[in-house]
Amino acid sequence: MFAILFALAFSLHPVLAESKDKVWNELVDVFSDVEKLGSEGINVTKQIIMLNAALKEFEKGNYGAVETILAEIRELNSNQIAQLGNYRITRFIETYGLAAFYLSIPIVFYLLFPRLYFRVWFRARRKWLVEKK
Amino acid sequence: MRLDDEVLAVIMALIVVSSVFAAAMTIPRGHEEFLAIGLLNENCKIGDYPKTVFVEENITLCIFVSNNLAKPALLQVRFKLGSRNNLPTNTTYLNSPTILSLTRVLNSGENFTEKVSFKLNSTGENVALVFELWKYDTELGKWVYTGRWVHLYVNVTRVFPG
Repeated sequence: MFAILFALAFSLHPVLAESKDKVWNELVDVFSDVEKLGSEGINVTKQIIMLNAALKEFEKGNYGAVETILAEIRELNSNQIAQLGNYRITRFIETYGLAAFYLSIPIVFYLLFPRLYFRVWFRARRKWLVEKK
Repeated sequence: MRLDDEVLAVIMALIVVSSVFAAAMTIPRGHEEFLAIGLLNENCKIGDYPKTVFVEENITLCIFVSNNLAKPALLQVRFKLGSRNNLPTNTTYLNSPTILSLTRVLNSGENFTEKVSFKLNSTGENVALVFELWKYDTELGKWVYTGRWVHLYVNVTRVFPG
């Protein structure tokens, strides 16, 4: 009986090791996508919380649970990867649009401020009377 | 108040400097990227580290890890035993077996502090408790030593029955 159990455990060992390696490779693949998205400035907080949960399950040897979590992360990643192009354009416009706005302030000030100043200056003195000396 | 050319020039200069500064702050630029590891005592505070421990005594320490890379990182803290003459360097890791490891994913700018407990099973003087920080490199497809480590010297003694 003991010999059968020993033989069974011995024969299962490579299968479990293979399963562990397979799940680890999947985890690393999913992390690779999260890393790419994060480096683009996309919010990946949710994926990171889930990845840490997956790592805990991996340490416990619950590879089925790991695969379930990884499937959810993959779905989140694929949605964000699909929006990556638009996100890059929006971020480019936001960043450089704001910089262009700041740089245009001196030009606008130079063109408009003297006119505005004189308009206010004259308005403030509109009831003044000119007296001949 | 009269708006003469000098006054206008001074105001213009101030506005030009301010707007260039504001625009420069808006445009993203690379900042210094680094990873950090720290060792804290069992209350997760600096100081009051154990100096003498007993064989088979449960030792608890706190590990602090910070990710200041511009992207998320898969990090691992590896606990090893070293000595005064056997410590890691900035480029080489300690060639000793890993006793325990802690693996976490950290977002950019995030950190974590976690307690680690372990027991030592042999006596020794100035035993170095070494915690190395490793990072998973997705391009190379393997764990890479970051060159960051912390260590604590302890004397490990045996309890003799009185």
